[in-house]
Amino acid sequence: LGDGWSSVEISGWISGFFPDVLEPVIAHNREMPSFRIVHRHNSGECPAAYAAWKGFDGMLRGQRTTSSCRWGDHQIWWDLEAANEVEALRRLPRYVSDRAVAVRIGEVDIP
Amino acid sequence: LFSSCPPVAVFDDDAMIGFRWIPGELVLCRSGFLCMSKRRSIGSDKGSISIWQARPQSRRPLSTAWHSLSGVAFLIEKARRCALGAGDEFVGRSSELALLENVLNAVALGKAGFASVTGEAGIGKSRLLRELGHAAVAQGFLALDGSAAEFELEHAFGVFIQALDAYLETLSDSAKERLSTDRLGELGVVFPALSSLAHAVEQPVSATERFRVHQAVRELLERLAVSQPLALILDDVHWADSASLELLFSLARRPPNAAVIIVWAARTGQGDPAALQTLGLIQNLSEVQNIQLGPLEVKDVEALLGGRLDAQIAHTESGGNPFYALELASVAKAGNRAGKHSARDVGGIPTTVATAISAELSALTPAAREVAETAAVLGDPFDVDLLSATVGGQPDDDVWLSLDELISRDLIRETDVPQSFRFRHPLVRSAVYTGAKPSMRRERHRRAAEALRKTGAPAVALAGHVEQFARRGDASSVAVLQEAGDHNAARAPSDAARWFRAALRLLPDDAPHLQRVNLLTSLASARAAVGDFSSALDALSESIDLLPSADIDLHTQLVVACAEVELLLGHYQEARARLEDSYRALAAADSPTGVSLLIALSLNRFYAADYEGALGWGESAVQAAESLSDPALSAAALSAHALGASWAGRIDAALESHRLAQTLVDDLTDAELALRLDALSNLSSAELYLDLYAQSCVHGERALRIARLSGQTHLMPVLTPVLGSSLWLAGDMQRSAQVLEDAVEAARLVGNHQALSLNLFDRALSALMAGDLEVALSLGAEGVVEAGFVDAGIVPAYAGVVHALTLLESGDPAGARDLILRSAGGDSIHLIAGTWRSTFLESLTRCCLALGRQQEALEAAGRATERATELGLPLPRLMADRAWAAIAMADGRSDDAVIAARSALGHAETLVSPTYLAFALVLLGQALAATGERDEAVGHMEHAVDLFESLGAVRYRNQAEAEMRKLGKAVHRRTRRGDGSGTGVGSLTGRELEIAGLVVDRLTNREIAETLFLSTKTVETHLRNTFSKLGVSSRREMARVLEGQDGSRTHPAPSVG
Repeated sequence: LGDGWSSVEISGWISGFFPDVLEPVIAHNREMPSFRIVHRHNSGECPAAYAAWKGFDGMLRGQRTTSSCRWGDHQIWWDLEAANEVEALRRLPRYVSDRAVAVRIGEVDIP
Repeated sequence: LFSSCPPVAVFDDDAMIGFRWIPGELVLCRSGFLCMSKRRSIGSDKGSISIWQARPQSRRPLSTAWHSLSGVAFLIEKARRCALGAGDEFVGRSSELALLENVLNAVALGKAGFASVTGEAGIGKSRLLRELGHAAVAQGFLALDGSAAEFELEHAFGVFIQALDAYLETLSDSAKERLSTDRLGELGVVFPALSSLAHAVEQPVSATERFRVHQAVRELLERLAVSQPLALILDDVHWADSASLELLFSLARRPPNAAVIIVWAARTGQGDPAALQTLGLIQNLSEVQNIQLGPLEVKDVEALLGGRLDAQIAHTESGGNPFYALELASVAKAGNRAGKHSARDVGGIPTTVATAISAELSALTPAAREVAETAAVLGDPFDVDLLSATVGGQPDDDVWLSLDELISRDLIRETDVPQSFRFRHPLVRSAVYTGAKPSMRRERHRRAAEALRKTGAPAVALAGHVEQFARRGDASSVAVLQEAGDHNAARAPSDAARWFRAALRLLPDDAPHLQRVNLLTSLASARAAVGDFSSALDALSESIDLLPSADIDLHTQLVVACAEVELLLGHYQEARARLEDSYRALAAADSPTGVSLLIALSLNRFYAADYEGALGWGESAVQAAESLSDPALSAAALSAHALGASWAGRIDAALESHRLAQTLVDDLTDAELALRLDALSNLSSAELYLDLYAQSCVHGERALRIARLSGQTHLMPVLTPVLGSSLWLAGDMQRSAQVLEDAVEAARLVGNHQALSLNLFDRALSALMAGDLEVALSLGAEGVVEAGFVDAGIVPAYAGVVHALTLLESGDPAGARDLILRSAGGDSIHLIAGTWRSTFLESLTRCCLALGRQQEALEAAGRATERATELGLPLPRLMADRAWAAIAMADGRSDDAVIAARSALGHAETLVSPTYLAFALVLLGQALAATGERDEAVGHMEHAVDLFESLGAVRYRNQAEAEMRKLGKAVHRRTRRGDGSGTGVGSLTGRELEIAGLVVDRLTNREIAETLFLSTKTVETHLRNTFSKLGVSSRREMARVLEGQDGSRTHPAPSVG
């Protein structure tokens, strides 16, 4: 991984390392439902909605997602997998989850 | 590789394990054990970074999964300067970062730490803080950051509000309620997010007691740091408001008892002189790690610029300043060869750099330029809504287009909050602000004030703008500035003074003189509250000059106020002259004004140790008040007389005036007393000198409460030393320490030598009586130093004798004797008033005995007896007997010692002071032991041990126990026994009961943790213990057990502190 590393793509699930657990994990993933979390706050709550993530340890922190805050609507959305709605909302800080709903989603074909 | 380069963070989220990505770092993971899922890729011309998250195969507990990692092959490579464009690299500061990380590591272990980063503008302070923030987050800290900005002083505690407020807003309602229950309502004074707590403040915070806010914030930080360490990162504090700097100083001097790191950055030599002075004081504290950033080396500049400009040239012309070097590079990129302009003649920055910023601005479209200039007026960071409302004439969409242009040119950047932006660097904002036409700038300030007014913003938010555009005679602007000053007076008096001055400047010449006097007295109070007494005196003198001669009452009030300021300065003679002049000018003394002057003169004489003078003026005050039929005024005069008489040793007269004053005072309501609070404060003082400690405590506490409620905290320097002393004499060591420590804190903040010395030596004495010799020595010595700043009088005298007493107890009788004789007026100790003179005559006796000066000891004891006979009060009699007992013991005349010690014990019992009673019991025990009367000696020692135990005077308790052992009596320390069974509700600790109560209220562990500021793990541990003790296996069962106890659940008293 010297200067030429920019083209390196590491798939991450390369086998050969002990223990090799690729298959069970994929199976596990397939069982997980997907949710879209819809969070809404008002304009005055905007700084708090972002500050709430500070000190919160979770996989969503530091990730990019979609928000309408800048344009005055103050909604944020996340898509994630979780066992159920409650588990999905637990991925958020309390302040944010108190103002959010988790909606189960899946792919469909549009005719 | 793993051991040499560990992952930056691992977190547990439903059995997920991941590597938190930190900007500027590359983390690559390969594992057969973990399922890697690609989350994000970022590319740049230097390459690309793929960020991965790892998921274990099953929902194993984190510890299991983590343990397994050691057997997994990991490849972790850090690569900097890849994802981010050139210019934001972190170069050349690794040693400074290492110093900060050392502090961070120490803090992670649970101790508070502080670090200061200083250097010129653009040298890389903010970048270093940012890197520290990443390191803190990687270590699991809650990292909160704020920054002060140029031209913005309106919000008291602004930089702390910026760092903490949004996060505090996210606290649950129960957590906020908990802060209120725990008497932390003062937080509502600071943080808008906690404003609902302000109602919980029982006694409002005044300017002289703003340390209470500091204490509340200190405790808040401790609570926030319970579940995870806290990093508070404050940038550009050289521009911070005075309240923020005071708070920072207070926190650094008395660090939170928790894992809290506070790191701040400040420009060298820039900012308000007062701010620089405070910052200097903070940086001199031993707890603070100071880091001075110097120029980058050539190789670092090369790395920074990435070949965009010759590094040697850039280094020479920028002086190794990274911001300047980047600006030079941008000039070069634009095709303008940078000339040699090392002279820093444009706002302290190189001309070339100023030119570069100017060129950036010139390239903007007119609309974007207007938006930038308006944003520079609004603040840094600035809010888009306010920007839109202020720009005027541009539709919102156009404002957004302009913002997009500014972002694309990297003049402004996003913040954590989408609707908030900040300039790339404060220098850029400064250039934009100062580059605008003055007339346009004024107009934008006017529009900003108007926009803020429409949103209902308080006067403090408007004041900064109003100050910029208002013209002389503008009444509405004067009103805004005065309101802003009043708002800040209690929390940020220094900033309040700025608004009062601005209001005075805008007042029209024909404004009513009372309005000007009102502003001047407000200004005087604000300046006095920050220790600038000469400015306060100037303002008061100016207001006196403004008054028409007919307004005698107000004139006298202002004269008394001037004298009070001079008294605080320790300038007793000037104050006396001022008061006497005013008194002579009075047509008649028998007026409320005349009585006030006479009382002030009496108090003035006390501080000058002229006790006969104090008595004389007190007598005059009583006579003048007689015909006025004003109970509060009479009580004030009588109290002053009682005090003067007790100082002068006229105990009968003092007791009579005390009796009359007490009757009047006890019949007056708090509201009535608020108008003459000196009646209560002087009564409490007189009681201290008349050996009436319990009454002194009652009246002192009442005076303290009314003083706070009515905002008369200028009386604190008089009140607290008296109350603190009466409390330890009455046996309440803890409350005494609290009152005096608070008073010391307040005096330090105000910067008043006299008040500081008074409270320091009283705290030293209270510590000595509680057996805390180290504290007594340290504070006593400081008290002596502070006393050196005031005129000769009681302050240096008392400071000296108190410290001498501590020296004697520490085994330095020679130093003690020397100090007593030097500070208290020679061997007569005549500078010490009333009953207290005997105390130090007894000390002098013991000093002389220890030094083998037998004759001198006899003379000192003789004078103690003379004083005791003269006064006839228990304390001087006790002290005289103690002196004679000590002499008899030294002579080996044990029988005489027993007689004197028995007499001393009798006086101690009359005195109603558990503290002195315990010492008298020890003395008698020692004397009896010397005569061989073991059993009685042991009995007295046992009683003394119990008393010292109840007083918390561990040192003296241990000494008394040692005496008992010498007498052959085994000592069995009594320990508090618990329930013993280890089961049932009775076996639960206070915290377990508290948590159990919240479980019954159906709170989840997470909610309980938030409410009590605990980690969820701690809550779980407590619950496991509670389940075990109660023999239950579920929350429901536990609730049944608790509710079944007596039908009603009892929450324990809330813990304070």
